[in-house]
Amino acid sequence: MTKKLIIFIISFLVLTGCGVQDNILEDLLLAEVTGYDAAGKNQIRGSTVVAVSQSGEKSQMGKEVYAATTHTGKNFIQKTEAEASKRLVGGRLQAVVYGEELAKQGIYDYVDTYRRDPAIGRNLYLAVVDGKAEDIVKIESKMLKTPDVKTKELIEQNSQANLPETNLHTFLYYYYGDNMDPVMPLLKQEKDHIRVKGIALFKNDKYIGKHIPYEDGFLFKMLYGNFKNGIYEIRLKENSYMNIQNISSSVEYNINTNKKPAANISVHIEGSVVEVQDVDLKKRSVISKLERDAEKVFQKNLKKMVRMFQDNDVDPLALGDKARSQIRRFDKKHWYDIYPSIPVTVHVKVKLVQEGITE
Amino acid sequence: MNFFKKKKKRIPPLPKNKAIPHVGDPAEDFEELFKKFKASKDFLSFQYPSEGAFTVSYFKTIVSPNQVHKEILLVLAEQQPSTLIEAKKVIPIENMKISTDLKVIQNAAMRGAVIIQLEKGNGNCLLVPCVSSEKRQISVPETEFSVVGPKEAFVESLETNVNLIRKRLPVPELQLKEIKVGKISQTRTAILYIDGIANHENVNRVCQRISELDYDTIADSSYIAQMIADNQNSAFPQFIDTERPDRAASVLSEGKVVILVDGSPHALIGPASIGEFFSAFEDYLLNWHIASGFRLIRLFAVLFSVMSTSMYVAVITYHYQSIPEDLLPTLIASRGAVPFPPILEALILEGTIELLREAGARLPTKVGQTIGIVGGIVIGTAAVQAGFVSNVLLMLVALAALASFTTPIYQISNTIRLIRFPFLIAAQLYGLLGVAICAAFFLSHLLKLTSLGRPYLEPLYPLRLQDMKDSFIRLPFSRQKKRPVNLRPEEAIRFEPKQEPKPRDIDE
Amino acid sequence: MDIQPKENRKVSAYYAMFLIHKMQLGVGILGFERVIAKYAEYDAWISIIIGGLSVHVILWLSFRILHKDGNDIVSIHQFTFGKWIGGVVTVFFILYILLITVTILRTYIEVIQVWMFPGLNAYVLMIVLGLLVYSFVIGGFRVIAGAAFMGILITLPLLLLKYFPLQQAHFSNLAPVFNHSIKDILLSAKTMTLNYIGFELVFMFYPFLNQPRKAEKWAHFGHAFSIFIYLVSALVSFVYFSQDQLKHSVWATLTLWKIVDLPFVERFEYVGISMWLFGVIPNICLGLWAASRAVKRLFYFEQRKSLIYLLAIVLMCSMYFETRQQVDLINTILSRMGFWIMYFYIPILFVLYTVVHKVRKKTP
Repeated sequence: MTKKLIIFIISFLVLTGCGVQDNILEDLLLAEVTGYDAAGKNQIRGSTVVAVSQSGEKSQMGKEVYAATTHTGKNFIQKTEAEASKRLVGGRLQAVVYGEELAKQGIYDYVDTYRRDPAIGRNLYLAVVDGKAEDIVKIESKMLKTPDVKTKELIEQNSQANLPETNLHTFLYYYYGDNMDPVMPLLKQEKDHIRVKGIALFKNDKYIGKHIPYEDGFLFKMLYGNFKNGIYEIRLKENSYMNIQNISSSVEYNINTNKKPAANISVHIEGSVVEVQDVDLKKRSVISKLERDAEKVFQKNLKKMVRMFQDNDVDPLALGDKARSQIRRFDKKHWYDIYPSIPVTVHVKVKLVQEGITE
Repeated sequence: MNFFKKKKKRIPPLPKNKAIPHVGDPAEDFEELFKKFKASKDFLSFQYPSEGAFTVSYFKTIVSPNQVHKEILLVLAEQQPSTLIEAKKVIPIENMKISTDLKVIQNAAMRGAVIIQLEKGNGNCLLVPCVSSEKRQISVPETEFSVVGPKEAFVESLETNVNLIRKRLPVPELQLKEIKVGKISQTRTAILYIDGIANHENVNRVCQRISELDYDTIADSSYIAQMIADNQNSAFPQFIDTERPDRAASVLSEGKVVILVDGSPHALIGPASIGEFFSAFEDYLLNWHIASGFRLIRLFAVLFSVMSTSMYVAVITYHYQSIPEDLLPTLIASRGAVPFPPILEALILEGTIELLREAGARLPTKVGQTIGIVGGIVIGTAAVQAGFVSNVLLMLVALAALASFTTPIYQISNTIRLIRFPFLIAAQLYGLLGVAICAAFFLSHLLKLTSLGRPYLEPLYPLRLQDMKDSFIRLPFSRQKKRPVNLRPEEAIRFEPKQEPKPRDIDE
Repeated sequence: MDIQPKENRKVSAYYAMFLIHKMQLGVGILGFERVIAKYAEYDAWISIIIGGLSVHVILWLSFRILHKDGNDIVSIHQFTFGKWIGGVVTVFFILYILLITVTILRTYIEVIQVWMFPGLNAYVLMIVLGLLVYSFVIGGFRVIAGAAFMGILITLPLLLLKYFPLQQAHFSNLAPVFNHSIKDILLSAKTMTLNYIGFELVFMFYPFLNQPRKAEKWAHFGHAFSIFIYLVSALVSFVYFSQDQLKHSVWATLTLWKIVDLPFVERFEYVGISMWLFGVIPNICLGLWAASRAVKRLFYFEQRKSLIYLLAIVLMCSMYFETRQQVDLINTILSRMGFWIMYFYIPILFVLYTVVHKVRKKTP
């Protein structure tokens, strides 16, 4: 019995002596949004906004910005500690934004640190900023009306409609995957607001400087995968527009396995007319005509978009990966060479259905 | 370094060849016995009906005076018997004995017998049992109260308690074994079981353990429950104690063994498995869906009660990443002003709740209520406003305390409140992993635990699907065809279901 | 000389299912995808099935050996090789079991160090886990079987979490099927061996099963269930990660838990790793129990004492392997040893045992 007791006491002493480092919630500065900018001479400027708790029963969260210029990405956190009153941790990081200039130089190093860090989640949003990332971080610190992280909410909300799902995982998926390239939301500071400008196109980890405008995000998503929601405006004729609300859209890729590869993309979209001018929607024939018109517009625009991808030699649609899954003994090197010149055809089938509570 | 060395106490050697008299040992001769009796002021001894006739002696505090007057003294005066044998014939009381054995005489006298001797100093005594037992009226169950169903509860008298069970099970197979336990208290302990249903191994095990008990005073059935438990160092009770005769009767017919102790208003039921501690007898009085729902709620409440504060400590101390996003601002705001680390905060609050409970339990009901209100509202609000504790934790601790009281058996609710503390400390040491390690330690303990040799975690482990019908859920009575396998009943079938009619077609 | 367990220390035949399944599903499942995809890439799920089926055959062979005399491997070795050589072979078997135990314990600690507490003092945690294991094993085989069963019960719901990655699945990753040579697929199947290791313990706990002939069926069920779990896990990881991404993900299943977002808990990996304790402890317990039981059978050494010594050895060995590379090393060594024991030693033992049995029968 005494032996047991001694073992117990020793183990207790050892336990209390060699604890684990704790992360007590209120003793931490939780980084919410981090921005990276190029700062010349192989240096980067990192900035981060942290939530600062104020004690009291109904206190609001304050926000503070810390920034520093260093040579490596993670190092900037260490440098900011010089001015921080508590330990700065990244476990609650919601979004990381990259300045345009840095994004053009390649951002892999600044994504990789997050991939390696076990404290970081995989629902972390990544975005490119048209301008300086630090501006977004600073604006974020001023948005105090709601406790949410604005940048994250913005991207999350738009992922429902005109933006594809882009988080740390999808970036890594497309970055590591052969024959495909990642995309990211392109944000822009507008006075004291943040706006989604469009979808930034990447070649591997480098922003190519081109983007899909926000309105055409709908078109991109039609090709990107099956999706719901989103509204697209179609110009029927001069001064006559129709708005289509997407109910469901599905896409299918067919890649020709012959010696001369060719891709055929067919999209089926079912939508309802939200608004249309000078058209009587009660007639079946009118609706059919609207469907034909819409198909034409979609086909034209989509083709243009795919052409643009090929011209810039980027593959955000993962055409190459789709080819791999359909061709046995797929030669990915060869595909790289021929990708810009592959003929791609796009077929769109539109079906308009009545929706709404009155006719 | 004599720190660990035990100090040897010098015990004076016992004087040889002289037995030390123990309390309760019979006297050496008759004179001494009476001397011992007479040392108490309530012992009466007088000649009746006339000088030189019978000597009547008894403890006036434990005999029934009415009976002594009407059935003994009056009869002796009227009939005038001349010998003890004659007296035995005329006195209209059962179970009389004529004995010279000092031990028998002493025991009988102490249990309320009237000693009648022909002449003083003669060892031959007629012992007339004439005990007056003071007992409480049968009242409503308090700890196991149910809204519907019988409202009788056991009382402190063994006879009444057996009566309450017997009238519910009028079969001769309901058998009773009686063992006296306790050198001084001589407590009568009854073991009840239904012969032909209860497994004999269980019955024998209970009888053997009780008869092997060696203690001076048994004040209550809880003494017995602790002393005959399979593992006496376990925090988990291994016998169910109930104050409901209906519960006792119904588990008897399942094949369990019931132990009744004289002077205790609780019956012990064994073998028990952990699930039964969370089943109230009221579950059988309600519709099976509702009863099953309640049982699941209780199970959830227990898990919540044990885990919630330790989870809070683990998450706030180590895993800030796991806090749901929408909850984060609330938590930070409430923790912001608290000057203590989470573990201390939790210990303070848990301690406060225990204080309130202990204070409430020791005070009369009316004062207890006030304590509850003062503690709950005034101290709680003040502590939060003073920034002493966070309001989220206050809510959690209060809920956890509430949840621990949902268990129908009082003993297990104490266990639940106690095992929270190891979990708390483990959470402080290793976060969620610590909680898991602590749970694993408890699992290893529960897996090893048995109740009367039957596994404690049954029907979960060993997995017995047929016993699941009445454990965490309760299926309808029509599905309770067999008695629990765990008890190894000698007659497994509870009832033969009649041929079920074919389900009728629609509108037939 | 043969010690047969008492009737009340035995467990029902169907616990063979839980024991075998639990033993195979250790820490490997948290990150086996990367390893098996090394050769056959995303055709590796075929390797899981092929490897699994081959283990079914080995399991069948094992039961053929065991059914003959109904005793454990200590007696089998003595019967086949004689007292001295048999004893030496048994010692090797004990060392192999201890290696399994060390690997499981050390790898789990590694996971905790990497994912939960980077600055963790591994020694202390090992001692705590050692006490925990002692507390289980001291209860005997029934308690360990219970731990295995409860472990499965507690960890099985984690399978439901595969729902979250499936929402972001790219099913085209799996196409085209059979795009790799047979050789690649077999090589991947070989790397899968490590994950199926553990069923060999049936050689130790066989006498503890009631009606062991019935247990054979359950053992196969248990193994089939392991194949199923591995298959599901691999498929989900394959559709969730792109190939090169998977190569960079050391613990693929743990990474999958990161995206689990329940209303009451985010970042499920912390909860998941903690819950996985119940998936790891039974394995260590069973390993230590088997080793100490074998020591008892071989040297007539009290199991209670040998358990303490073996536990100390296991803890010491685990403490010896400190770095990531060393942890990988013991995994590789175990994988190699397991491969040889499974596919070469057991069939050879089967042949020898059958021959010796026939010979001894003729000359009583």
